[in-house]
Amino acid sequence: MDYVLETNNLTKNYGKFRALQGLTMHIPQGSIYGFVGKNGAGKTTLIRLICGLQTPTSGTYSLYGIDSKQKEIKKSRRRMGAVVETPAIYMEMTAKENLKQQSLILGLPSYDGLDDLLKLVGLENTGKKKAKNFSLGMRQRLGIAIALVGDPDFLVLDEPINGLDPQGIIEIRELILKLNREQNITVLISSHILDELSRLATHYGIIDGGCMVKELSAGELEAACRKKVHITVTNTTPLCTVLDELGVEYKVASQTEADIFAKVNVSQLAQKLSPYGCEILSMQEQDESLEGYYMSLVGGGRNA
Amino acid sequence: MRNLISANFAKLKKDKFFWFAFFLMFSWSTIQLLAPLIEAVQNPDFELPTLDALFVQYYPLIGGLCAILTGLFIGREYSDGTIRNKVIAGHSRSVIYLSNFVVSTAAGWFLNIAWIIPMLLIGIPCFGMFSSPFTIAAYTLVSLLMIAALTAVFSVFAMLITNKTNSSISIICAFLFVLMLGSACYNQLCEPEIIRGGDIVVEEDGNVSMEKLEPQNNPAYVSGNTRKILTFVRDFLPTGQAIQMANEEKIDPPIMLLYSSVIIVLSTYIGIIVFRKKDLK
Repeated sequence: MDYVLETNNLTKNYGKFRALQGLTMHIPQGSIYGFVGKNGAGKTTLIRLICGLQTPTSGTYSLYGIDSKQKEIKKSRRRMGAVVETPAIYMEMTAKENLKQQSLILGLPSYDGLDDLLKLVGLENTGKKKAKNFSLGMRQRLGIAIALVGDPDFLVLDEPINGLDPQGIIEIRELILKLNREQNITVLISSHILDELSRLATHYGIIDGGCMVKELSAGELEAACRKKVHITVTNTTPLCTVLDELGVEYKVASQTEADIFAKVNVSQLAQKLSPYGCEILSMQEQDESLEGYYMSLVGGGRNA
Repeated sequence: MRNLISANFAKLKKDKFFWFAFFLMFSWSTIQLLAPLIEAVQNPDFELPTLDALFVQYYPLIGGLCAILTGLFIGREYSDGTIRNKVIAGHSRSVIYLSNFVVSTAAGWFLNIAWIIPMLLIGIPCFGMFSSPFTIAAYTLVSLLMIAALTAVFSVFAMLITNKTNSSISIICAFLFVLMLGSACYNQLCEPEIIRGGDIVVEEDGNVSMEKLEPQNNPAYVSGNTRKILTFVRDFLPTGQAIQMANEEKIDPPIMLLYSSVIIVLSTYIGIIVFRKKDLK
């Protein structure tokens, strides 16, 4: 498999604080890589390193196969665009002027395609409105448009939906999907909003305390996420006895509720509970979400 | 480098403070010329100053404008986060640093031009040619490098302090410090070695006469090594150079150009070394 970005044992210290501890990750070409972790897990630190904003304390990374210690790494960064934390835009300029400015920075020979780019991110009608008067969602989209100047094939987005309203979140999601599907741009998207990531990502990297806990594809995640049946009964004590008899894995949630991690025959279960005077009140089939999987890997606490 | 310089010039073209400073210099220069002309019309006995005397007035203050301009121009790169775009686009830290320094210096030179234009267009027709054109040419040359030296120092602050407000305040404080230091050295060196004075005597018949006193050594006069050090500091500091030129003092252009070059090279070298190792956010 071709990887756009690979990191090898990447470590970054800020004084005595170790933000990244030997992080190893692989981003396949053409993927939307969801980088999941709590606040302070090291997501932004990794992004700063690969963007060249900071240097690793130890370890290396490679962009398109070019090692970070090689001089050519700077040239290979021209193939990537990034929005790190807040969108990097000139507030006193219009959307078009911002794109022109980025064209100059990249040394592009002409301003061709900038209007198309504005159209792509839905900012074609902003005219002379300065970026300082844009909404947060518009600024985020302008930041992405700036990152797209120069036709990169790797886009890095750090928490792109933070602070956006539901409409803004949908717009950004659709834009990312469009870029990935229509232009085959590989996207690294960091977020702690798991539900949103699960709608986009084709691959996941789960980071905790500066370490990569798990890397897996969306398919692998689906396989790993167990189906469960949430059952409500009049009493869970006889339910436990019956489920033990059936050899089924379960988890009791309260005196009347439990989760069963297997397909159960409802009639058979009801029949076996009947002698105990226990009735089934409701049953719902549920999938374990990315959130559940994440929690099982990382555990609770703070604000993942 | 060329890409970043042209991008920075495009940014400068849209910089409101730059245009404010440009028109301020232009207007101030024009007023400086028109005020004595109006006075001469109202008062026929008024003696017009030379164009040279009017031309040199701005040297100490242009540094202040450059300080604010550099602080805001480079500081905005951090406050808007746009410096990240340059790094991600694959430009080296040295090139980013140098391009900001070059364009900030050019901005200072444009302010210089804004002062000179009215001096040439209004000044020469109304006041006649400069009485010492070679001195004015030397002053202008020295002032260009003096502005570059000041901007080089301001760039160190602006590139290494990521908070725009903090860097702007630091730059202005640094400028005021070197201005006061240069001024203090200049004033100290201007003290005469001997004080020649007299007492005014009013006689009984009401006549007033001047009684000459014996010449006395001036206690404020500095000599020896202290004088050499003060002279060096005055000539070395760009603000010291500016104060001398504003007072139409005789200067040594090659030495001043050398001092300014040393400041530019040293501060830019130190700035780049530190900036290359700096963690950006």
